[in-house]
Amino acid sequence: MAKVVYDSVYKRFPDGTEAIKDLSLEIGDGEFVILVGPSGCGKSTALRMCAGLEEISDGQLLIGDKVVNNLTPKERDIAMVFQSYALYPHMTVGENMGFALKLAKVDSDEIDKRVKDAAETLDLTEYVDRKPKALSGGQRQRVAMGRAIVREPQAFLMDEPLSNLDAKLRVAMRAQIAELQNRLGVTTIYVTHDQVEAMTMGDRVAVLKRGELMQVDAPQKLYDNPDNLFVGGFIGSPAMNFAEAEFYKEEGQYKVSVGEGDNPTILNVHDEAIDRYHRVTDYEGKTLAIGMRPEHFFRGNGESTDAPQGMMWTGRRVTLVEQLGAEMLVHFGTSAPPIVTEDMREAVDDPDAFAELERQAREGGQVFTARFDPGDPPKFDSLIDVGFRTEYLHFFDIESGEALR
Amino acid sequence: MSDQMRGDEVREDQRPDADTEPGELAQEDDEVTKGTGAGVGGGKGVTSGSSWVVRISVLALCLLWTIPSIGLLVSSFRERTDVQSTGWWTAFASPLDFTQWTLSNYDIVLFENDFAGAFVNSLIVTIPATLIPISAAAFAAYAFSWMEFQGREVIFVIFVGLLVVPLQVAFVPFIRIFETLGISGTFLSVWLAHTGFGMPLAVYILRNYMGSLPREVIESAKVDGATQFQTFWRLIVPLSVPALAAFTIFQFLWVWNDFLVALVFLGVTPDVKVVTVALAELIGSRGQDWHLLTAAAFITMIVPMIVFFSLQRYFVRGLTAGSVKG
Repeated sequence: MAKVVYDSVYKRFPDGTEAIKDLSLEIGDGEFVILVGPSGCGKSTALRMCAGLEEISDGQLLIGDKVVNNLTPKERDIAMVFQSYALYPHMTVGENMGFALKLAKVDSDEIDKRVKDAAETLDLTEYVDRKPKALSGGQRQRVAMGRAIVREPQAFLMDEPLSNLDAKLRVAMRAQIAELQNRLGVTTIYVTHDQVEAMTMGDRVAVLKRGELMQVDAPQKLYDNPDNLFVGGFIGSPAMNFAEAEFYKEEGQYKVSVGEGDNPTILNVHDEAIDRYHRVTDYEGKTLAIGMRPEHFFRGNGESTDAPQGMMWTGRRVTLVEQLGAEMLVHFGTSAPPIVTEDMREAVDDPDAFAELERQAREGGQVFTARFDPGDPPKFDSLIDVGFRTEYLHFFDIESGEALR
Repeated sequence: MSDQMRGDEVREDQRPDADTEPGELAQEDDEVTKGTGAGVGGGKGVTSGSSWVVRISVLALCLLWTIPSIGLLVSSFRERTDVQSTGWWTAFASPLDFTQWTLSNYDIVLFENDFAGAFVNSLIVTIPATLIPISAAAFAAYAFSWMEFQGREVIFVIFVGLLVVPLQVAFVPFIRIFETLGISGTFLSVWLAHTGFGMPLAVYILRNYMGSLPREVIESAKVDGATQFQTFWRLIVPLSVPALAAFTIFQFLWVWNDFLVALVFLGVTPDVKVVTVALAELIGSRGQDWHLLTAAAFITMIVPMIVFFSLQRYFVRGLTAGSVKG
C-alpha cells in the first residue's frame, strides 16, 4: 500500500487538446478519494494515467515514493476495476481472480488460497467454477472486485464500477465497497459521475472541470463550502439554485435584490452569511451570483412577507411537485435572472437542461427547486409563498465563478 | 432549473434494467445462435404462411444442390457397363441387389492411377499451407489491432490492398525466387506460395475480429501484468477461436481444391502430384471412363465435405463476425 501523488500532471492529445491541466493531488496511504465531474472532465483519463493505460504528457506521477511515469501497468502494481468489469469470458471465476497472480508466477497453492479467501469475502464461493456469462450483473461486479483484491496491490483504481448495476444493487454494492476498502486499507481512487457515490463513499472528493481540479475536500465540506460556482452547482442533488442579484447596504443592513423590473424581491442577508463570505462586502453596489440550496427554503404562510432575516417569494406558481417519501421537492417559477455562464454549462452537465436554462434566461426568470418536509403538498399550478434562510446564502463572482470568501 | 437534477433517483428511472454486459462475447454468440433459430422457427401465427414458403424453398434448393452429388456417389459404385448404359437413378430400382455394386472403380483409381499417393500429397500440401498462414496472420492481426506503432494504419491498408493482386502476376517472380533458393518443385515452395496468397485475407478477417474484442478486457489484462505475448496467447487467441476456425476452414478448402498453384509450383511428377492435378490427368487419359472419373471425383471431394460438415458452425459464425461486425 502506498500514497499516490499527481504532481502538476498534464495530458495532451496529439490534436492539441488538453484533457488534464496541471493536476496536483496527493492521495494518502489508505485513503479513499473520489474523482467526480461532468462528462468529458478528464476524470477517467486521470485514472487511466495512474494505471499506465494513458501516457503522461508532463509532470510526475508517484506511487509510493517512486516516479512511475515510464513504467508499464505491470510494473506499477496496481489493480483496476472497469465499468464493464472486463472479465475474461473464457475463464472461470476462479481463473479470472487468479490470472494476475498466475502471471506473476505466484505458486499455485498460494493462488488457490488467496482466491478462496477473496471468494469468501465477496460471497462468491459457490460460483468459483462458473464462467462469467453464467453470473448476474452483481456477481460479475463482485468478481471484478475479487480480481482486484487477490492482488494485494499498491492501489485500487475504480472506473465507475457500479454504473452498470440496477438501482438496488448499486446501493448495496456502494456500502460493500466502502466497507471493504475500509477493512483492507488500500489506497483507492474511484471515478464516478454519481452524486450519491461521490458524497457517501470517499474520505475526500476531488471535483474536476475540463481537466482542471476545482476543489478537493471532505464530502460535507465540499457541499457546505464550495470554492466556486461550478462546484456549488455540480455537487448536490437537486442542484443549488443560482440567481443574479444586486448586493447593497441600507441602514446598516446588507441586502440583496433579486429579479428585474420595478418589483424585485429583496432579502436581508444574515450576518452569518457575511461572516462566511467576507469578501462579499467588496461587492457593495455591484452584481453578484447568489446560491441557494433547495433544503434552505421554507414554506411561508402568506403573511410574513417582511420577515427580517428572510426573503420571500410570494404568490409563486408551482410547476412541479415531486413527493419522494422522506421529502418533497417543489419547483416554482420566479423572476430571478439565472446565471448563464460556462461554469453553469459544465455544472448542469446536460445540453438539454442548459438550453432550457438559457430559454428561461431570455424570458427573464427561472424555476427554483425547494426541498420541503413531506405532507400537505401544494397543488400543481397553485400559488405558494416560499422563504429562504439567508444564513445559508452562498455568494460567487459571476465572471470568475469564485466564491467570495 | 427543474430539469437539472443529477440525482440517483432520476438516473435510476432512466435505466431500470441497466444490466447490460459489454464484456461478454460468449453470451453474444449464444444470442446470435438463438436469434437465427427464432428467425426460422419463430414464424408462428400471422407469418406462418411465409414461413412455409421459406421452408419449402430451402428444401428445394438443398435437393437441387444435393442430387448431383448423390448421383456422383452412386455412379462411382456401379459397374462400367451400367454407368454407360443406364442413368444412376435406375440403381434405386433394386438397391438391395448387391451384384450391381462394386468397389473396383475405387480400387483402380486409388492404386492403378495412384490417387492414394496424390491424396497423401494433398494432405502434405494442405495442412502446413493452412497452419503457417493462420499462425503468422494471428500475430500480425494482433499487432495491427492492439499494438501501437508508427505507420500501423498505412501498413495495414497496404497489406489488405494486396488482396487485389491477381495470383498469376506472382508466378514468374515466385518461380525465379524458388529456383534461386533451390526449392522449386518442393512442398516447401508451395507452402510458401499459399502462405503468401492467403495472408492478406487472413490478416484482414482476423484483425477485424480481434479489433472488435472489448478494449477494457485487453486493458484489464495489461493491468493484471500480462506482457504483449501473454495477452495474445492467453486472451486474444482463445477469444478469437471462431474467427481462427473460420479462416482455417476457408484456407483449408481453398488449398485442397487449388489446381493452378499446385500445377505451377509442384508439377505432375507422381511423388508431388496432388489430387486435383491427378484428377485433371485422369480426365485427359481416361475421359470416357465415367465410372473411374466419378470415383476419383469423390475421393477429391470427401475431405472438403468432412471439413465443411463438421465445422460449418464456425464457418458461418466466424466469417460474419469478422466481416460484418468489424
